Amino acid sequence: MTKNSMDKPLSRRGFLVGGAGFISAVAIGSRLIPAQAVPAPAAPTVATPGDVNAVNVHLVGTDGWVSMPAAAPADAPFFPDSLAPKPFDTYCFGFRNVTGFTPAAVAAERGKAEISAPMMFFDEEDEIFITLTNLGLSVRPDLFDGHTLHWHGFVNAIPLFDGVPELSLAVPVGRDFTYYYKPHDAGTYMYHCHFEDVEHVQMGMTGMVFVRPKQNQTRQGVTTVNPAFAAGAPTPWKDRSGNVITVASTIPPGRYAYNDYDGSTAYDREFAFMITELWSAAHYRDAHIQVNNWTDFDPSFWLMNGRAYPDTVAPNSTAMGGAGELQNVFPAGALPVIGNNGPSDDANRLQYQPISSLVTCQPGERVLLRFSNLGYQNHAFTVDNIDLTVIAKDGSLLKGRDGTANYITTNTVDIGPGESRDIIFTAPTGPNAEGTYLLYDRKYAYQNNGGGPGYGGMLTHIEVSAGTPVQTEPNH
Amino acid sequence: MKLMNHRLALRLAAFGAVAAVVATSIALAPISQASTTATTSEGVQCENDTNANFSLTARSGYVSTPDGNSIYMWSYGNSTGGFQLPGPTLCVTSGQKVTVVLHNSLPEPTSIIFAGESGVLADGVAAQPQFDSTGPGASLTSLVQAAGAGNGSVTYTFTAGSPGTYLYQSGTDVKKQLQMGMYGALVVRPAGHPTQVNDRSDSAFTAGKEYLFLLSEVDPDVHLAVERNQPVDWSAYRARYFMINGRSMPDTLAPNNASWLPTQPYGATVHIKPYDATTNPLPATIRYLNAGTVNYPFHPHGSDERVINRDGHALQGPNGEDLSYQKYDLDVGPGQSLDVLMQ
Repeated sequence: MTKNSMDKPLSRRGFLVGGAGFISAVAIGSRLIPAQAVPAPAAPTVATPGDVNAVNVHLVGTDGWVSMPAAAPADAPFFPDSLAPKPFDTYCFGFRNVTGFTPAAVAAERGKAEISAPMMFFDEEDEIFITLTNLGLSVRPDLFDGHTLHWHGFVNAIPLFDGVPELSLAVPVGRDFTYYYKPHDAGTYMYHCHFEDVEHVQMGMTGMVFVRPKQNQTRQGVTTVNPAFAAGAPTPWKDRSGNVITVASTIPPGRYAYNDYDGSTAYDREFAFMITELWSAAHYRDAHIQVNNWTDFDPSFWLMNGRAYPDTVAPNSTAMGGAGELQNVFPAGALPVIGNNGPSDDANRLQYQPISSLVTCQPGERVLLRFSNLGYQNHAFTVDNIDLTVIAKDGSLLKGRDGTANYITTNTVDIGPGESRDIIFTAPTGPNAEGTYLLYDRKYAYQNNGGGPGYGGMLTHIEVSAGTPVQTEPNH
Repeated sequence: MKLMNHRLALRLAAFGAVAAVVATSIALAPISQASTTATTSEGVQCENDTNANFSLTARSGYVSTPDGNSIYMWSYGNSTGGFQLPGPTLCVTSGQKVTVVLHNSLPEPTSIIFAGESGVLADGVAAQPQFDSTGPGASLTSLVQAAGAGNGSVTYTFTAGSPGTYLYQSGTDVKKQLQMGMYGALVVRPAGHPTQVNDRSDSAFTAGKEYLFLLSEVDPDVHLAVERNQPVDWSAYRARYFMINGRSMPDTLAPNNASWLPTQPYGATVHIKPYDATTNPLPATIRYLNAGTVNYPFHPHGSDERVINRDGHALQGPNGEDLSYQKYDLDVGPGQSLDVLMQ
């Protein structure tokens, strides 16, 4: 938190200077990016939000209230928070997706943060423009905390767009700033606010972002045949004699986790999980104008996509939204009010935790699990009765520089803070295959909510059923 | 908020060491070029000896932290020098016979475990756990032969093992002595290839672009109790300081041998030029080594790092297949080492 004792409003002049930096940095950035075939341009081309490959996303950063599982025991005075409006119990910071909103609708999202942050997914080589608007903190108007976007793991990040305020800039309250990215590397990443990051990350400004490979040969659902994946085309790998390895057979358009050049990362369904812990005392202190010693970190709840079990298996709070760019972020559009008795109805408990972690699939399907950990602890995910194959760590396919596949088949996958894993499993088949399987953190000491009885924490269901409809969007 | 937890400290240190460097190399390069070599010394600072004979003395001393605190520590120093944290970085060649004489000026016995090395001898006999008696009921007194309190000494010899990065640390009263600072790094280089991490040619790095991050943590209450000769309440252990090479951010950014950090000689800043396939294909190597009690996940902003060595062993298959992998986060476990190539 940043106390507003020496408030220096950003002058129009200062803001314009920042804007000029943005434009010049775009120019510098596109020069730094190694494109496949650059025809030696005299002046670099500046990407603009109107380009055919552009994807435009608008996020806000603000505060709000969320709900931990109803059966969690009280931990006075920290949990439930006495300031929390019904049906909520925990203060948070977070992002919201306001793509396509009117300015008035954007401003109305102040105080309506969600955890996890909106899930974003793009194709390789998309020109991504993400505008971040800082709406301030409704519960703490005395603070003037900035917010930033840090795409964790983005290679060749331009410092201006890396979101580290100590090295570039943060978005002050009431302002907005447009970040630009052009991802060259498919994989599973994460994003978070880097402003006073220990606090803002713990408070909930964490979300998933992943990039689909060119090998899919589709962009936003449009099939485009790419000769790079025909038999005989060169791959990024060389054998030990230095000879380039080529594609063995034609790879059909489809759904792949990575540019594997052999189809080994094909999947039928994908589910993404943002892994965090929630320390009730820290959230309480932020709401009640107190300070934390972060070395005392002592989490109360262990979350998947911002929810603790059994809330993890509750459905998504809203359907995927719209066409075009709204297909790149979930949830899109306004979050619905569910209950009949207005916003305070218990049915709206998870209104600001919209992303489900329930995995559904048919027997025999290949299911991709994308895990990113923005908590402060290691977690060890396991599934009883199903083997897990780790195909990538930290957005990098597990293949050596000579193309040797080093996929790891195991029953427990350890994920450290700031790491990601891509895991594929094949859903069981056979007479007894249908039913419920558990996906959970093997650290049983965390398998509760606030120290209470029963199961909680990072635990969710894998429901295997022949009647599961075809998946059209992640986590659905 | 001014209080930092380890994650912030590490992240600050990590981006200070990596991301800041990107900015520095763009914006401040002319300034740093104008500085003298002494004030910009960075990277691994080896303790070298042609015959790999080293003499270390276990000593007490003080280190400073960025908040103005001064903390009582124990560590290893070169016997001809003074106290330093961490212990000297010993650089040897694989297959070379290594001799380390340990002198003890601490008020209790101490020793050295060379984790990851085999066939270690102590005063000419096999390095083995020490017990207070023989037979049933004997109590373990030290993980290895120790140098006695009051200027005792012990001589360890071994043949340096596979190329990589190793921790050397106390094997006596380990929980306390490791927390007090009794640790250092052992770098084993491949024979005939001083600018490779291991025996593989694809582990090469640019000479001089070699960095070591020795990670550790400090609970100041433990150190105060030891300094005052009071009992330590280990159930209340809670690390409050987090260090790279014995320094916390922003001291990590200071050059090697900074005059204002007399007992903390090793910096952690990395200056590199951007990767380029023809002009700069091998920007740098970083050796991560964890002397702490929990995992420390290091995140290089804007760049993946390729893990080529783990715990002193090359990541390769039985027929030399390349099993290295790229990471944007290096989650270094206690006692573990990861050697990476920056790309």
